[in-house]
Amino acid sequence: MKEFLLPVLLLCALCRASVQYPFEESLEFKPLERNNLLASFNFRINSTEFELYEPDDKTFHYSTFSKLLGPILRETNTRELHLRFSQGWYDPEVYGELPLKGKHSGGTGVELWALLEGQNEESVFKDWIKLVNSLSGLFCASLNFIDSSSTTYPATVFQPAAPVLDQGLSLKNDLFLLRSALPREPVCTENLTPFLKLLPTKGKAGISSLLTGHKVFNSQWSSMSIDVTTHCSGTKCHYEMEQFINLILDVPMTLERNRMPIPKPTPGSELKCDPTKPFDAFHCFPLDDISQLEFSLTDLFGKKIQGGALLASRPTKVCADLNLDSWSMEVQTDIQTTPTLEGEKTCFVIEDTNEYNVLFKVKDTKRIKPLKSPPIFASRSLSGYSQDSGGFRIDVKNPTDQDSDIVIFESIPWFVRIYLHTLTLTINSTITHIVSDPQFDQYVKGIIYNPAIDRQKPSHLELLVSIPAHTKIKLSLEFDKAMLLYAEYPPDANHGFEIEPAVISVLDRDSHKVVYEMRTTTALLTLPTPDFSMPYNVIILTSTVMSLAFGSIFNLLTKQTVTEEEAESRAKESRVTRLRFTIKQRVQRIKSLLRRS
Amino acid sequence: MALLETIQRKINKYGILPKLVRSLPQVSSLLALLGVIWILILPLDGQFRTTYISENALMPSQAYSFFRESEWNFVRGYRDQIIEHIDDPMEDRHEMLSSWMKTIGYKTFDYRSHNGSRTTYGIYHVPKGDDTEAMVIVAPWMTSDGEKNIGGLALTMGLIRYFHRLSIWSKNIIVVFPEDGQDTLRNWVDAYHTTLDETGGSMESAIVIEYPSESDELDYVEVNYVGVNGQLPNLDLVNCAVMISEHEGFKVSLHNTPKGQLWANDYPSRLTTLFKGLFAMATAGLLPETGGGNGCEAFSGWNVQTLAFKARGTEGRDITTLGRVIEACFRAVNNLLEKFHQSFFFYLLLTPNHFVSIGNYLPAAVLTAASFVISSVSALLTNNNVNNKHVSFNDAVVRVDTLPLINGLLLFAAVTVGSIIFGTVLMWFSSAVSFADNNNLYTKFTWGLILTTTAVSFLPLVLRYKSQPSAAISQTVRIANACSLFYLAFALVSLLVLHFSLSLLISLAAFPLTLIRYGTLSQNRKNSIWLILSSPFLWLAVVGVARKLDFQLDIVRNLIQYFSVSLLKSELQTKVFDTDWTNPVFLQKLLQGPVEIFYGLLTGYRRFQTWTWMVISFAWFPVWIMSLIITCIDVQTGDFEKKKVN
Repeated sequence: MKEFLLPVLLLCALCRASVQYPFEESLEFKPLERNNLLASFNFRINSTEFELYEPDDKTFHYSTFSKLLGPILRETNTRELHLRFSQGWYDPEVYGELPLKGKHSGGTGVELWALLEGQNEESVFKDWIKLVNSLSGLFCASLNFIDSSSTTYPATVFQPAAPVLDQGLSLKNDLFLLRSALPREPVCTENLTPFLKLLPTKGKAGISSLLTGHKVFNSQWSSMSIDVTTHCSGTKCHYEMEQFINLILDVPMTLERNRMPIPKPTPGSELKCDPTKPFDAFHCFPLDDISQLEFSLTDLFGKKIQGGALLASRPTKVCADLNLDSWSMEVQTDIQTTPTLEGEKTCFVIEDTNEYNVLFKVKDTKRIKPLKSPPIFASRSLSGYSQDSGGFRIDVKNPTDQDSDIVIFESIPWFVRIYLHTLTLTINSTITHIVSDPQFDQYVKGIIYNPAIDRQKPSHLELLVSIPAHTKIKLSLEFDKAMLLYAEYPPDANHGFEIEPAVISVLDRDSHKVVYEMRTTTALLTLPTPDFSMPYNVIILTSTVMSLAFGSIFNLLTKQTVTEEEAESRAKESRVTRLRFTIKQRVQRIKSLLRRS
Repeated sequence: MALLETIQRKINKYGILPKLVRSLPQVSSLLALLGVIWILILPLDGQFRTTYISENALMPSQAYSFFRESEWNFVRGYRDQIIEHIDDPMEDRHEMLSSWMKTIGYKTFDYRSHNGSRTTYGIYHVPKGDDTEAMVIVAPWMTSDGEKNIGGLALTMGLIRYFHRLSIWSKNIIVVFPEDGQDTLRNWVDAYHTTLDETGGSMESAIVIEYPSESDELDYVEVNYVGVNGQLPNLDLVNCAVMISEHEGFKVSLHNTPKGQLWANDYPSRLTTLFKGLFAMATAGLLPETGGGNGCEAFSGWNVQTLAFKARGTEGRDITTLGRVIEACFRAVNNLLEKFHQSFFFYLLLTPNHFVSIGNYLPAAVLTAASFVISSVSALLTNNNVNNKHVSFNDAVVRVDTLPLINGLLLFAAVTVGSIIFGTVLMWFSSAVSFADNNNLYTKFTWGLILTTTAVSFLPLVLRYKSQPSAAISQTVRIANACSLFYLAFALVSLLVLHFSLSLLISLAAFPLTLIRYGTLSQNRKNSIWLILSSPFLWLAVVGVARKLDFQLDIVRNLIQYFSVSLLKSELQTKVFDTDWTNPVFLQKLLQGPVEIFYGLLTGYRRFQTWTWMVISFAWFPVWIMSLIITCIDVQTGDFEKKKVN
């Protein structure tokens, strides 16, 4: 046997070198302002080819494409799937525009939209529910809580990224776009693990080996995304899956936490004081100005890259978008590796199983490549305080030199009854137009509105707004709060109800395609919440009233009505009175007897 | 039912009803007395409860705080700069804080209220939160006593820098530096909920810090919690603050209780705190723009649980201890998953650790309000006409003719509408005429009103005309009297759950109105006394002057509880004899007291949404005027002489 072993092993080694799976991964670092660092993990996987309408009993090979996801997509006729997990607040002033123009970042919580093929809305909705329930199990998220009351059918945004129709394939049925979001979902390690499971490297090799829950979710902002699209040529189709993890890390804070997990006071000798202001052993004006840093991947992620993903079609690539005047990048591994300049970026590839660590040395962290400012700034706030009504106000600012067209997408739960006639527009905090003003239409070019149906459908609002250059507009909308049924309140009813983020998309003025996408934060709305001991009070009160009523009615039914004189004379004749009379007589007799004796 | 029947039969049989009707005035007075006794009983052992943390999630003081050691150096460093720049122009000062906050990593913005003063605020969007809720820390530049909040500002800067290092936060942190903790802060809070572009989610709690001293140390903390319109923060937050403060070794003072009383926990001390609390709640939000508000009023009505910490004394525990108290409060609120809802929103504190809940104290106001209901019934049943004194009640003849009924109702309606218009016009007037520029006008106006109402109270003594004996007049007056008393009773009852203390205090102050009797003009001399005693403007004068004299109930309590001649002498010496009562400046100050409160009353709704003036001018004042009119009418006939006259 032994003589066979060597050739077999050799053959295997050859195979490994020659067989390439449709998988690619890359990691990119980008320094941001205020010592923040963006780490962007990207994975691409293609499935093997298949035909769209094949019988159910046919077996499939998925190769590197996840066998967990494939059957779900086929079973539910999903042609496109987009899933987002996000956490934290994105600060566009410090971080610049969203990574990848916001295409792969979701709002706080979980967001899901999918393109489903089906004969009619009903069957598609059934498939959608099946899809969200399967994904719920797969990603350990409460996606199973998605139902018709949180599902919308977007009209102008969230449009298919790779339209199956464009590829010359004749579909048997229609395509439907469904979307839902769970703003309340806390994104956590349990969502990351299944995310890594979808990768052929399973988080054991390649750049995914850096991803551990406690580091990923310790970031300032994090976003995980999965996009599956179907691509066809002729009758042959395949899935393309793109996975992104974008993290923004505050480097000094991460280093500080590694050094001292508990934020103990800085020892007196290490205090950094502003020398221009008086300082001594007791006084110190803090100098929070860190400009020199030295950190490595182990500092940021607690691990080194565990070799490359050797089954990938291209070797694992790590890049950094650095200003080389003050930043330097050094690869630490067993073999000599020097990063090379590829265009703007400094990159290196990993083609072996050695551990790789990257050391960044910074002379002045403020000197970074200029960040692109986002084409739009937006925020949303709640107005009012009362238990029965309130309002939204959305502030949108166009900082660019050109007018821009945006679409504001809102999906508002049914218990928030918005009134479209209260929509007002304020321009630069000075001029206010109500919805019936003719000037209003100069700014708001179109309104798509599907009103809510109680307990069945959310309000779906899409506003096409045109904002002139360097202008700030404020859209405000009023609403009433509906009363929920007793059992409809969640267990922590007094927490309030999360309203999912508004999605704001900037459109290209010619092609009307989305060029940038951002989301506002979630809003927390208080609904009139009863004291849940109320039913018991009601029961007690009702019982009391019932018993009182019973008592008097019973009294009326059983009593005989007589005149007062009659009643008194009868009372005299009653047995009790006679008995009392006899007892009195006896007592008196005994008394007189006693007295006599 | 059967028992009631028996009682009713007995009443009929023995003719108790007329006697009962004639004793209604006594019943009414008895009810008012019972109301007062009820309040006096509350501080007795067994009538109140010890406070406890109701919401388990709060877990106050469970973590070791690291706001100590070198953090103190930073506080001192910030303080040096604040002392250096405290007299700079407003814009420069705010810019300085703004730049400091930016360096730490807060997003800073400024808000200009319509009175021109600026509020700088910073938001820390915490990395792990969902950006929907916020906790607010406020350090006004000017404290409620009009001092410069040097220590408070420095401590807040030190704290927010420290907060930014922690990774525990689940709710955003908003830090606010308003010019003052009153109108400027209120305007900012209003704007936050209506127009501000940059917000950090719904506010769960707010903590105001006042520490005017430049010292490194403080002695004890005063916790203010009273909001306008009887709104209080959730008792859980107050309990947290008290528990944490005591855990860190601070004594807690409520309602300006002096240091010597902080250890007292006996009946008189509890009663004093109770009264001070009642008074503070009833008069909350009635301050002129010049200052005096503690910050709790500013957040009131927006569903934000607010506390104000005021550092007292300059020796004892170091300033970072106060910082740790505030940090622990923030941590406690941060632990919350739901909004504050577990504990009481209506309570009276007797000591920082003892309280009376609404179920226990509410009957007091119910009793005093019921006394008005009874007296209104009594008025309707002819008790208030002195001509009826010796005639026994007979339900057959109390019938009211239609015309006097309509007249009486119309008279009352006219007076009420007149008073409402008077109140509303004054409110409009106060918004149109500024206080600062027209102080003289306001002074004249306030004192004019006080003196006029006092003077007209003597009208019944002065008037000497005689009217024709007429049953119509007597019936009209009877209806107007009964109606007005019932109206007041109704107003007080509807107010008492929402604003217990105001309802109780008004019902006590207006109680003499139930004693007013009418008849021939020569007969009712006492009415003037009752009218003066129950005049809203007399009470305005009393409250205003007492505020300017720095009246302290604790001193009165001390005098009574530990009575000795020497103590009384020394108190009289310092408070009465040593005061230069003839000093025009001092007198001017005293006279300004009621004027400021009156202005506060008039502008209360506009500035703080305080209803106090509305309650007074829509309910109390019309009834007072009605009573005045009634006493000025010469009622020659009793209600039972109808047949004889006609």
